[in-house]
Amino acid sequence: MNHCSTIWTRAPLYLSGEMEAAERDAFEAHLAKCPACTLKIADHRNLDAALRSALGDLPDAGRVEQVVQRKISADRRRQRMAWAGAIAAAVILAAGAALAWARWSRAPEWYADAALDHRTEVIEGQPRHWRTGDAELAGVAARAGLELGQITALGAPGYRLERGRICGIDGERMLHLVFSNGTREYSVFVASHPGPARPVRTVRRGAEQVAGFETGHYRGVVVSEGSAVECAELAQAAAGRL
Amino acid sequence: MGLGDVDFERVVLPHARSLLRFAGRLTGNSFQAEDLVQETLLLAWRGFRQFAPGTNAHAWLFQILMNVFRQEKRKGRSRLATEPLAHSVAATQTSGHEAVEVMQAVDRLDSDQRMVLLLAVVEGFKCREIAEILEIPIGTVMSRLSRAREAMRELLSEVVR
Repeated sequence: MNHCSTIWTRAPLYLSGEMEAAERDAFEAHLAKCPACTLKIADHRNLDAALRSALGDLPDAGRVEQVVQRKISADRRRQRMAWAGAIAAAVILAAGAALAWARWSRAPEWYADAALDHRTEVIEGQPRHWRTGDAELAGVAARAGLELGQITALGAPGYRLERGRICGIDGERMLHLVFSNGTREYSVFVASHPGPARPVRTVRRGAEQVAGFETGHYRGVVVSEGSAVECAELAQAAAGRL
Repeated sequence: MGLGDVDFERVVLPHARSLLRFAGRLTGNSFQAEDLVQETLLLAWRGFRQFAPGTNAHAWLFQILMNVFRQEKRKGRSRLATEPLAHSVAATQTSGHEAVEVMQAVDRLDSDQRMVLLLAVVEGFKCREIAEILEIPIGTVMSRLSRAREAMRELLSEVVR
């Protein structure tokens, strides 16, 4: 570091103490043999000292701090209120969703009527005027807006349509069909019913398992003595064939 | 009051006075300086979660202050810029003929040079820190600093020697 111009490029690092040891040694070696640079550095040091003396006092920032503290408190209040509002909204939303789900997923009351009909008419065998044979069954199917082929297809594999009759459930005429595999019987209640399609819903009513379906054009239930899964599969299959 | 609030008061608020000192020289107006520091501290509060504990809070705060100052300048705002410097924070700090001469010389500097000089000498920042605060290359900091010192040396030849 032999040139004065280099010295003045790097001098700020020397004065701020940021210079690496090797560079600092070279810098000081130059100062040792250059009175002009030595004087300049001394002047800069004196200048810095004069500046610190003139401007170094710290002003009172009490007023600024007070205003800032007040605004921070207001900020915190706003944040707390925003959180409280968000939590309240979330709670209301969750409660609404739970209520809607409970209503939506609850099995309708008429499922119980269908279960009772199955118990009295199929399990207990109380006398009813059942229709049997293709001709009679086609007749009752037509009264429910269905064709014979449609109602026979509602049965699970291995089951055949044994008998059927029109009954009143939930203020509506429904076709009550009984399918049998020779040892077991289950009921399918079905009626034309325009409305939204819904997934199968199951409910237990005493010994009977009920699984309801709504296809958008028809609604119905399957009532059996089997498990909920088995009953739901029967209902799913019936809905798929309508 | 949570831990974050305590930390903010412990880490940030002690720098309020040096921020105000610098802002006073930067704006030349005590009310504008207070506004600038308030805005800086509020931004620091809102961004305090991003501040890494153990790092240089002093430089971080000056960086925020310079960002606010630049934004205000870009928007062309000169809020409350009616208070003359003679009534402001800077002029109430010291007394004596020599001090007045020094302050007058500082005010005659080009604003870029003045900023660098005050940050280095009065606020005690290293050249590397000033480069980060002002978002300029360190070489620019060094050349501005050298030129500022030379200008001051000429303006205050009697005071310096």
